[in-house]
Parts: sequence; C-alpha cells; structure tokens
Amino acid sequence: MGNEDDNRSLSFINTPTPTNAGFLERGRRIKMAAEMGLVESSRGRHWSRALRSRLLPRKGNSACGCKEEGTTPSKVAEDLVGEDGDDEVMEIERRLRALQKLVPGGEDLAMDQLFEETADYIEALQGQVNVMRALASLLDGLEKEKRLMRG
Amino acid sequence: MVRWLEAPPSDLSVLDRQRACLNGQQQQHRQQLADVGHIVPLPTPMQSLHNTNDRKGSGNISYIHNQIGSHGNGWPNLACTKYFAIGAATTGEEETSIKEQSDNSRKRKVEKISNQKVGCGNTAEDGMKDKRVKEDRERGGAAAKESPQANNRREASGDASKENVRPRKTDYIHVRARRGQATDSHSLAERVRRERISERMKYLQELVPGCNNITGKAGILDQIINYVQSLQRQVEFLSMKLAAANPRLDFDIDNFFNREINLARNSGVIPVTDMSSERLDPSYIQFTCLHPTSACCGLDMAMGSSDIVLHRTMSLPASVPGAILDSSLNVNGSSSSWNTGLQNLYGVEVLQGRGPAFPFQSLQGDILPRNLELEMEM
Repeated sequence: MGNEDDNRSLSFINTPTPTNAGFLERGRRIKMAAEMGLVESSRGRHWSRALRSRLLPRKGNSACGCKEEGTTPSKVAEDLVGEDGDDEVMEIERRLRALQKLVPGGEDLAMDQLFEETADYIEALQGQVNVMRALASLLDGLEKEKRLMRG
Repeated sequence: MVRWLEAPPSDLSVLDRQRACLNGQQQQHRQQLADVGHIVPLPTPMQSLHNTNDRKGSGNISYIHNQIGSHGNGWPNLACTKYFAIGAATTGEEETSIKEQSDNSRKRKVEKISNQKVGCGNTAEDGMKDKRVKEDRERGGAAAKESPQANNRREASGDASKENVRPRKTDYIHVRARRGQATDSHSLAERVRRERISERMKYLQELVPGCNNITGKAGILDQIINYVQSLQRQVEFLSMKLAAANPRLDFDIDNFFNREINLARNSGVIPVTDMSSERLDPSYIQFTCLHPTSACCGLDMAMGSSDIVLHRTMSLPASVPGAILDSSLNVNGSSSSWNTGLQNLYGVEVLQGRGPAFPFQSLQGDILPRNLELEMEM
C-alpha cells in the first residue's frame, strides 16, 4: 500500500543531521499541533480521546470515560458475512485490522463503531489537511511577496 | 397467543393471526399489546378501538390500532395477510378467511407495504416477512431488544412449519425474510446490525473519493485504508512543509499544551466558540502580518508557489510533487473549509459539523489581520 514510497519520500524526516535538526524538531512540533487541532475539532469522539491521550502525557486516566475498552481485537469481524467463503471473511478481517491500526483508538472498536469513527476521522483529517494547505500556500504567497519587495 | 398485535400488521405472521382470529381472544391481544415494549407509546387499547381506519400514513402504530378496533367485527382490519407467508400448516379455510381480510385492508396497507417493497401476489410459499426488522429500523433499532420477547413467544407456539434456519443475506435494505427464515432474536439483531454496517459503509464510500464503482467490501475497505493513510501522510508532509516554508515561524507549542493540560485539570468542557479572536491566544502562533490584504491575496496565489518553495528547501522524489501540486490546486476549492480548518490548527473548539459551517467572508474580514501575523523581515 505504498509504504515503501512513504519511507523513501519522507525518510529524511527521521534522519537528523546537524543541518536539519532544528527543522525536524520544528516539523514534529507542527505535526503535534496539527494533531491537537484534530483532537479539538471533534472533541467527543472516541478516536479524538484516544489521540489526545497519545499526544498528552497523562498521569491518571480518570477523566476519560471510554466505553468498549474490553473489546478484544478478534471481535471486530464477528460473523459479518456468514454466507461468504472463509477466505473472503479472512480478507475482510485483515483489512479491518489494518483500519483499526490506522484510526486512533480503533483497536477497541467493533465493526459498526469502527466505521463510524473512521468516517468522522476522515472528515476531521480532510479539514485539517485543507487548513494546512491553505496556511502553507498563504505563507508561500507572503514569502514570494517579500522576495518581490526586496528585489 | 395473539402475538401478532405486537407489531404492525405487515410484520405479523399469518399463522399467528389465524390463530388469534380463530380463538377470538381479544383480551389476550390487549394484554400482550401492553406487554410488548415497542408499542408502549400507544394509547391504551381501549382508546385505540376508537381510532378510525383512515390513519394510513401515521406509521406503524396506526395499524395496530386498526387491528384492535376491528377485531370485534370479524376481521376486516386485520393485516394484509396475502402478503405474508403462511406456514405449511395452514388449512384451506384459514387461507380464505385471511384473503378476505387482506382485501379489506389492502387499501390501507398498500401504501405502507409498497414502501416496504412487498411484492403483490406472494404465495404461501414465501417466507415470513421479517418486518420487525423494518420496524426496528424505523424506530432506530430500539425495538430490537423487545422483539426477542415476542419472538420467543412466537416460537414457543410450536409452529412446525417454521424452520429455525439462519436468515439468508439479502441485498436490500428492506429486509425480507425468506421462507423458513428464523425470527429469533439473534438473527434479527444480526440483520439489524448488518444493515447498520452496510449503511455506514455506504457513507464511507461517499466520503472516500474514487470508490463508487467498486463493489465488494474488501475493495472498498482497501480504498478507505488507502485514503486514511494518504490523509495522515499529507498531514505529516504539510507539517514538514510548514516548518520549512517559513523558518521564522515559531509555534509556541509548549504554551499550547500547558494550556490544554491546565484546562483539562480545572474544568470539564471548554465552551464551544466561533471564530471570535479573543479566544485565540496569540502565543500559539507567532506571526506578524504587515499586509493584511496581501495575506488574503496569498490564499489566491496558490498555483505553483508551493512547489517552488519545496524544491528550494528540500529535495523530494518525484512521487511527492504530485501531492504538492494537488494540494496547491485544491486550495481555492477548499477555501470554504478554511475557517473550520484554521480552528483545527489553532485548537479552538468548534462544533464540527458534517460540512464547513462558516462563510469565507468572515475570515477575510477581520480575523486574518488580527490572528495571522507573519513575521517579515523588512
């Protein structure tokens, strides 16, 4: 699924050198800010709580009223398509587990809730990506203007 | 024994209705009406007797009323039994009586039943319609818990004709039980659950671009996974780009997180705000903007500028510039979500609806000069 491309293109992120150390650190902080923005935009959601507890170091977990903590991963695809052959079910299960890993807090969720959280997570991500793009282009425009004004 | 009154006429098993009619047990009707949870909102059975037969469109409840009301007159208002499976144990007599009932009630029921995609002229061989599932759907699935009770009673009647077979999968949202499909609580609940799941999958299909033509759960799931991964990668990539684009851009992250933690400790919920600027702590993002108008123009200067910056500051393989161009091309189209997105980034709580809530104008008006201040060397 393009993981190799992923590693190739973004691998520079994870290889700090004297020149890009500050830049990497800044990038990570921006990413954390972006993820906190995601959290804040959809506060009540299970994935939002999970992402938040991942981002912020918390001493005690008293405040989070997470339900479905006890769902084991094997429950995710319980007899959803009993009529199909077993390998199809296996295929779907495999994909469901992959989706569980992608969505924050997805490991606890069964299939129907997982889809609901995925939909909300996708929408939040879309919004976040849009604002970051707009912000980046805004900054580019200002830089360009600055260069123009200088020269 | 008269369990059919627990559900709208279209949900009832013909066999049960026959039994009820033959036994003439009105009292039990009313009794069990009161018992079954999902018709609790009905008025008392005595009141329902006075309801007219004209309440076609008022939903499930009206049919129950009609049934009760007509019970004393013979069975003119009983459910359209023609549409329902008669079990193998029906006799000829019962069938004719049922058909009488069906003719009388057909006018009333046609509207509802046609909505439920019931085909006319179903023979006795068709399976029992599991309209309870539709009812559950109509009531938000709340009735699913009560239906087991009814179902158990139904099965306890010892109907030899019903087979306790696992329901077959249907392609329609309006579930229709085939012959011999079980009506036990497990299969009903499963079917409701499956419908819910397919509903959610359809919504996801609409969200994720490019999976409308793909059939099959595995393919759709693949697309969903790819899309989520690509969005996450874009966030990461854009954060790097933001870090690179303006070296003097300083996100005051520590303050930001401290505020979050303090708020979490002190209070429960931070009230939801709109884009009022006083909520935005300027310490979050240290910008200084000298030209508000140019800031707005910067949004329009989307084409191609970003990749220039990118090539200058980092060297990326060819796969990534596609994403850059894509991002730059989309900015104008996504300007309406700028507001919600900005709030995402700034950490202001907003009600995240399903779509952008605020017009772009409000952003251009006052917010931008106040909040977006870009440091510029002059």
